Amino acid sequence: MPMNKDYEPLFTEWKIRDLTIKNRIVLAPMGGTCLFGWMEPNHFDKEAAKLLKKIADNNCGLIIPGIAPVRDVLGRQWLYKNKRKFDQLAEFMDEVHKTGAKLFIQLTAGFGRSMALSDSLAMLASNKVLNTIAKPIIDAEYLTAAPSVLPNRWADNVTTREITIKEIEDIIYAFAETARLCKEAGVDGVEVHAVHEGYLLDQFTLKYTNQRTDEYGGSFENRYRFPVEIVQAIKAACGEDYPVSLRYSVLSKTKAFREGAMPGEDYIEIGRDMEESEKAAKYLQDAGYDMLNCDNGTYDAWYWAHPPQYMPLNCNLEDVTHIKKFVDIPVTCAGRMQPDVGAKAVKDGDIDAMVVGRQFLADPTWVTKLMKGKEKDIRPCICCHAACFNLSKHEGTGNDQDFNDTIHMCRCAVNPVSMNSEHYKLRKTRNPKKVAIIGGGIGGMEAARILSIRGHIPTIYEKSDKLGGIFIAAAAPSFKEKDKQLIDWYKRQVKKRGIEVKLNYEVKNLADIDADEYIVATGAEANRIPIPGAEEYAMDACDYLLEKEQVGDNVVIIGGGLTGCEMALDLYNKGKKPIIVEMKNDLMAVPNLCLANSSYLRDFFRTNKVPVYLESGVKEIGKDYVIIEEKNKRQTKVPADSVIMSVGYHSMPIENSSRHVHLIGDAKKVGNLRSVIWGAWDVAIKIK
Amino acid sequence: MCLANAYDMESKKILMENTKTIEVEGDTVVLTDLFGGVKRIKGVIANIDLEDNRVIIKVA
Repeated sequence: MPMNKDYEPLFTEWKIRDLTIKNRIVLAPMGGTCLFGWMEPNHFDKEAAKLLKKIADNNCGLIIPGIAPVRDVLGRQWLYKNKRKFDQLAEFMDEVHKTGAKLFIQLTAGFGRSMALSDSLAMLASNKVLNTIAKPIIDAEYLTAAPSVLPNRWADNVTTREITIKEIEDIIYAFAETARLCKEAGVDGVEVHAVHEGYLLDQFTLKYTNQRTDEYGGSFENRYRFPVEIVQAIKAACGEDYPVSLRYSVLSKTKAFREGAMPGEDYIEIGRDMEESEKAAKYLQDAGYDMLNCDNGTYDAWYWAHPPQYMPLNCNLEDVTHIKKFVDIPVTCAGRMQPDVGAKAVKDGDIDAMVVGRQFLADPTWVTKLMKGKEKDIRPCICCHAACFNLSKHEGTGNDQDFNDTIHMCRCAVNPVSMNSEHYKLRKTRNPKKVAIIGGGIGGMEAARILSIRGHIPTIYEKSDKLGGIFIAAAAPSFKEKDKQLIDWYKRQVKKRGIEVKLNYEVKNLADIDADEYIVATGAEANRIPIPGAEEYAMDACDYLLEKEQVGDNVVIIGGGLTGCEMALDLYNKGKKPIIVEMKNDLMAVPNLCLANSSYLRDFFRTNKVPVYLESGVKEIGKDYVIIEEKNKRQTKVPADSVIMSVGYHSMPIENSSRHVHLIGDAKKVGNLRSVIWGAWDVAIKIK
Repeated sequence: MCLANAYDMESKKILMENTKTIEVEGDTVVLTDLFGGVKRIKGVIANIDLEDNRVIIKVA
C-alpha cells in the first residue's frame, strides 16, 4: 500500500550545518538507551546498540541515544578515559551509516537538584561521613551539586551543595575531550544536555535555581556562560564544522519548586519565560550551537518534557514554532508529536524535524510501517511510562521506583523486547500444542499472539461478547485515545494471525476444554469496602467507565489511586464536580508510577481546586450525600449525586496453576499493563 | 488513616494486608480487612508496632 501523501514532507532531506539528514524523523534521546551504558561504569552497551540499529534499519533519519554523563554515576570515571569503547563505537558507526541514518551522541553535564535520589541515596547525599565512605563508588553529594544550595526535587530533606568552579571547568574539558573522541569514532555530531527540563545546565540559566555571585550567576550572560563555554570548547576541540546540537526547553512552565503550569493556564513563570527564551535561543546559536532540539518544562513541570496521556498531542509545538522565528539554525520538536501534525509543521516551515521517543520503544519499526501505508500495524505507545520511565515519588518519599527499573530504564510495557531482547526471545516450537486461553483481555490476546508466532495453536475463550477485558474500561476516558488504539491493534493482530476466538463462551471448568495447555487470564474483580450505604449507592469504577450507570454532577470517588484520579480528571473534563477521598497521605501513593504522570494529576486537581481529602475515609453513604471522616476525626457531610468506589481489585482465577495450567495477568497478581503483557510473554515463550 | 499488616511471627509471611480490626476470641485471633474479608487464626498476638503499622502473630 502506498504511503499517505500527507506524510511526504517528513521524508525530505535537511541539514545541520553541512551534515545532511535523510528525513525529518529524529529519535528522541531517552535515558537508558545510551551507547555507553546506564548508571553503571561506562562501556559499549550492546543491548542499546541492538535497539538503536533496529531503529536505524527502520528509516529513522537521526538517531540520538540517551544521555551519557561525561562522568559516570557509578565509579565516577570520566567518559573520555575509557578509550576501548570508542573503538567499538567506531565499528557500530559504520553499521549505522550503512542504513543511511546519522547519529549524534548526547552528553550530559549532570543532574544537579533533579538527581532522582532514592531514600538510600538521599541518606548519602545528606550525611558527609557516609558520603565520604561511599565516594569511590558513588558520590551522591557531587551528583546533586547544583548552581546554588537548592532543594532536591525528590528527597524532601536534601539540599544540594554549590558546585565549584573547578568542577565546572572539569566538566567543560570533559565535553570537549569526549566530543573529540566521538568525532574520531565517526559519530556525526554531539548534543549537549542540557538547557532543558531543569537539568544542571538549565539550573544555571534559570533565576529560581541560580543565586550565584561569581561569573556563573547573576546577569543573563553569566547564567548562560556554562553552556556557552561548553560549545566553544567542543568547537575548539572538534572544529567549527562539527555539528553540536543543544537540548533546549523553550519555556520552563514552572510556577514553584515542584509545581508546574497546566496547558493553557495563565501563570507567573519562575523559570525561563518566552521573552528570555527568544533572547537565549539566539544567544546560544551565536555562541556556536548548530541546532536546538526543543521541548518545554523542568523536573518541577515534568509532564511537559515527558508528557503522559493526559497532555495534549503535540503539546510543545506551538512554543517551539514561535522560537524558530528567532534563530536561523534548525529547530526540532518533541512532545507527543504525531506524524500528520509533524509533517504539516515541517511543510509550513514551523519546525525542521519531529522528535519521537517512546513510540520507537513500543514499535521500533513504526516509520517503515508508515512508509508502507501500514499505519494500522503500528503498535501504539500509550504514554504510560510503566517500564520506560517509572521514576516515582509521593509525599514523604524519594524516588521509590524498583531498583531493577532504576538500572534498566527504557524498557517498554507494551513491547517487552525493547532493551530486554536477551530475556524475551521468540523461538519456534518443534512440537505445536493446542493451548486454551481463558479470557480475551490484553493478557489473553498477547499470549495467543506470541504462541501463534511460535507455531502453537491457541484458542481464546471469552465469556463476554467482545475482546479487550478490563482494558476496555481503562481505555474509556477521552484522554485514552492511544489505549483504544492498542485494543484495536490487538484485535487486528488476533484476526491477522487467524487465532480462533470463541466469544460468549464462559469456561467454568478447564476439563470441559480439550487442550494440551491452559492459560487462565480471567482477570480480577473490584474490591468493596463494607461502608453503610455502599451496597445501595456506591457503583464500581467499571460501572462508571463503561457507562453502565450514569452519574450526577457531584461525584465522590472513594480511593485516590491512579484509577480514581483518572476518573476524577475524566469527570472534571465532562463538567462534573468530582471529590476524591483517600486514606493514605497522598494521591497515587504507590511505587513505580511515573512522577510525570502523577504530578500532572496532582497539579491538575490543585490548580482546578478539585477537593481532595487525604488520610480520610467515608463513614456513611446516603442517597445524595456522604459523610467523610478526616484524620482528626472531624466529620463532614458533602453532597453526592453519585459515589464511585475505586479501592483496587483482587485476582479471580478460575483454577490454580499447575503443570499444564498457567495463570497470567491480574488473575495471577493484580498489576498494570506491563505486568499483564510481560507476564503473557513469560508463559508464552516457555511452553515447549 | 493507616491500616496495619499482620504477619506470621515464624515465617515472616503476611497474613493479611489492610487489617482494619483485630479481635481475640479465646485462642483465636480474628482479623478483618478493609474490604470485609475475615481470617480466623489460632494463635496469640506477639507484638504490635503502631509506628510501622505491623501486627505480629504467633501462630499455634
